[in-house]
Amino acid sequence: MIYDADTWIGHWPFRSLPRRSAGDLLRQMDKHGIEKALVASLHGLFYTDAHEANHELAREIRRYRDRLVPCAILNPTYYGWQQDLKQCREEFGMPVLRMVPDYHGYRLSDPCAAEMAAAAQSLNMLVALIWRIVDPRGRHRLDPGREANIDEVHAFVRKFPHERFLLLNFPRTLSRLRFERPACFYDMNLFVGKNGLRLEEEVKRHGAERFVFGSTMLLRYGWPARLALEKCPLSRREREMIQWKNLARLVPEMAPSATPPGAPSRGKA
Amino acid sequence: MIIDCHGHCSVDGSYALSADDIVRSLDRYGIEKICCSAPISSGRATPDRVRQHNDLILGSMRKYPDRILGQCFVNPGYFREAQDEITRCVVDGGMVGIKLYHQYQINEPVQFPIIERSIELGVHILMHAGYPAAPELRERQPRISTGEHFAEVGQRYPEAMIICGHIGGGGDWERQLKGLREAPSVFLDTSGSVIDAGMIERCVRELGVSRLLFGCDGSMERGLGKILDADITEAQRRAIFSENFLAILDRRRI
Repeated sequence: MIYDADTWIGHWPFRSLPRRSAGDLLRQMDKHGIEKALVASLHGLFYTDAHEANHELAREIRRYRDRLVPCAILNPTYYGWQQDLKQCREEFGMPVLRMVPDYHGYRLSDPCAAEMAAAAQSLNMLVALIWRIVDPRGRHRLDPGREANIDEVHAFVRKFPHERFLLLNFPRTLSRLRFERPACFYDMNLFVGKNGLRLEEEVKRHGAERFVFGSTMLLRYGWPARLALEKCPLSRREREMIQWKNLARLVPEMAPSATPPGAPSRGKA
Repeated sequence: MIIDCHGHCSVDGSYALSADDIVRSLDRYGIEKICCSAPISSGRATPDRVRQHNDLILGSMRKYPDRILGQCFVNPGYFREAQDEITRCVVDGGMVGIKLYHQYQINEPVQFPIIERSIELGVHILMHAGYPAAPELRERQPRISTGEHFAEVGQRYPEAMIICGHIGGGGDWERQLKGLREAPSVFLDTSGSVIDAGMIERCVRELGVSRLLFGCDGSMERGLGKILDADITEAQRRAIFSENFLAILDRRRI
């Protein structure tokens, strides 16, 4: 069983994607043995009113809520985000907020970023930060996304010493944070390389409790993340932690026993 | 059978991974053989340094003769020394190909003697390549080879076996494919850490499967994963994983 912390559906304005819909994502999840996934709207990053993408996402995955758990995307510089955030949590049942500063014109060091994170946490939402969406070497000239400044991420996380964060598509841990151990959980997608030997080293160094499975589908192929985990020599306990247990603990809505809102049937594509 | 046509290692771990670690990785991922080189990617690629780097590959080949194949790195700017190094490493040392980096673009006249030597020996050339999308990234590799450079040299030397390196090595891979379409004799390796959905299917559609060669360039899980995930037939997967590269190796005249 695998739970995926890092999936997207929708369009990407700079490249044609072969698959885009919730049904497409479910078919890919079936192919890779992924039971549940956290998912957000890809094209929603570019909406003037990001919250419209949350509406769209809630509608599109309504039938698949037993397998797809939606993540909110909101812009803290856009008027009315507080009410939108409340709707994401209370009406749409979104347990995670993915923050994308570059796409929304703010920095993590801006007061509005901390304000939105605090508001989400007060609603029992988990805040997810993303190191990058695309590789800078192939980035379109109009794509505002950049790799997150690690110092800013450090400073931001330090403002919330009692909160947990989900760090998506990060290449390394924020090891300078003394309290980081219980606070940050990493999607393992970029903890790879070194001819396929790196993930093993990272898990040995930081512990399996720090990592969750993440594929970045439908933006990228899903098999590489699956292969990285399959081939990594781990104990059964470590493997299960990364495959699903850590994420299930982090996001109660992902737990096997979680009751999805208004979804009576199994979501098969 | 799976053969990785784009790898790097050294016998002692002083450059990239050690031969021991590379073989551990091959075993873990079910890859039978890997073709390795040790190019100089920064600083001056002087003949002395080039020889030292190639010695790391020769040592790796000696340690694992059934698993590690070698590609001889040369700097074409040193004409006589480059030819001597090809003799030392390919003719006498058993390396199966030539590796070129970004010291010069593949279509520059300085490369022609190297290409003509590769034709004479019947060995391939693996050329570092890419099109970094951002101007500031292109400035860091001003002589990196792009699709149109391969198109030009492919038309000049259609009998050569030139491989455009790592379509997933970073950069605008869609643009690379546009140039490679115009060079039907040029091969493309699928290595690199970029795993954009649809990349391999696009390579097959634009170039045809017979021009694609499996490679990882250090990203085993990503290199393998994108081929396994691609919406292609099993016959096409087999061709990419090994058959196409084996056909290239069969054309050696030494």
